[in-house]
Amino acid sequence: MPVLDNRFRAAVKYLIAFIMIPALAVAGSVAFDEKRHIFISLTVAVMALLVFFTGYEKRQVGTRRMVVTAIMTAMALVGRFIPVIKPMTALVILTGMYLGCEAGFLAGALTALLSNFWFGQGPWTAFMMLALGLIGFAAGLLSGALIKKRAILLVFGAFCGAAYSLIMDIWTVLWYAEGFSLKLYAAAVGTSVPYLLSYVISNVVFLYMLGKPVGDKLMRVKIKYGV
Amino acid sequence: MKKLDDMHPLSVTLFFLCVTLIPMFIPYPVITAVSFIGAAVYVTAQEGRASVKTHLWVGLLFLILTLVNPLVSHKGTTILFMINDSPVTLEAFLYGLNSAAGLSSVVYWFAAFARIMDSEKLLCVFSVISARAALVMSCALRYIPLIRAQYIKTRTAQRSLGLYSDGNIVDKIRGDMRVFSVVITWALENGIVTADSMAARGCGSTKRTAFTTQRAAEFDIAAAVCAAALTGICAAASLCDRLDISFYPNIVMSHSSALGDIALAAYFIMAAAPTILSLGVDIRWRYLRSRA
Repeated sequence: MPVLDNRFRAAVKYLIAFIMIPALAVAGSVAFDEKRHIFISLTVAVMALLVFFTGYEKRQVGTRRMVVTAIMTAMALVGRFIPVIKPMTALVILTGMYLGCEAGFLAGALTALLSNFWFGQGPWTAFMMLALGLIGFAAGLLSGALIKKRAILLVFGAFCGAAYSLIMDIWTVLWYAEGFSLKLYAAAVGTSVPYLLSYVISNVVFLYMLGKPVGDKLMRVKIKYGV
Repeated sequence: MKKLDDMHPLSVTLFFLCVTLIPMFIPYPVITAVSFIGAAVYVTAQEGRASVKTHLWVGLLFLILTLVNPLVSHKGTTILFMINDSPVTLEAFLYGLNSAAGLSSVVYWFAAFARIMDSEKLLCVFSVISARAALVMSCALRYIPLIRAQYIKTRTAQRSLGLYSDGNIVDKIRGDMRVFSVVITWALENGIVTADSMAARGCGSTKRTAFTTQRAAEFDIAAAVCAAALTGICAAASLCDRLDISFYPNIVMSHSSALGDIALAAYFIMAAAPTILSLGVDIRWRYLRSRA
């Protein structure tokens, strides 16, 4: 049942990427008052996700790469169930590093979407999908440096953990109050410090422990089977 | 008449998007209250006794969200009392109460949503956006039980070999890492075999289409159209500033107007619809049975 055909998808993609997102951002800051910031940020997040997924639909990705991405997604998903110290983000970063930007984004976004069926689905899912997806995407962009130097990888992991927590706090504040308030943001950051620390520590620990072995395995699969 | 559980997943998704987006973007007290009560009643009707856990968790969230605002924000003119030389105002408290009702109702609605959407329905919705990404998602979901089974198998084998001890924490972590390493190698190799098999049967040779057993009945389409129309009324009222409220420095609500009242009635219908549909189906079922 092809609900949308390819040409329509492509049209939507370019329309969103080059016209609607910039238009919304400009219109949002000029025309609307502070009350609608959350609306604009949510719409932009959803549109960014749509741009990615409609793009993935058209891209020629080999079946092998697709299945390996699915496996890494499953691993990351299972990783979120481990209490306190979670290998989820570390596995998303490794996926991006070895399988490329697209696979990293897909693994991150799908992990967030699927795991929220257990951890609580909500409008924040769109932001989590985007945040985790972008972490995977960035890992793909920086893959050269990340694979070569372990220190850079660990710093990157710590940075991603902190950035993820701080970005989600922005969303919490926007959701709670009309407009952005630095005071509330400080309060939100203050209450989420334990989470921030847990993200940073789990990323560093798991990238330290899994970086080499899992990286080698992915590299081997890539070379041996030409993924 | 159909319960939400039996409707087409796209209609269900549209309904939940509408019913949660309205209190998020129109933080008008009547709307947040209707949303909160409607969602709480629906969750109770849907889950029965099992809903106690959801109620406790949302109640806690509600309490925290209500109390944060008056402690952080000191705007407003009606001072209730002072904490550490900073005033706690009635306006800030009511603002917190209103936001808390809106936010926790969204948590309620999404709990109900997650209960209705099984993986089959989720894939149906996702395949509208991208059939290929839906395939990756479907594979990932399938691999979870497989990975779990293999993990248990490997751990048992390692135990019987005497390699695995969970007596002390260092040994346990080392053992877990070894099992994890074995499982991930297995999963990747297994994935290659699966991928080749998929390719042999034509995966990737042409544009991917999604298969679903879900069929949209007239009732599902009608329900989706109704939800969209009711949301449209609320959006119109909000854009015409008929459902405005500002808390600071004094609480000012927009005067009651025909459009505003219609919008409130529209939202009431939406928030009550899931419970009414589910009760209606239950009553009809009993009635039919006792007559037969």
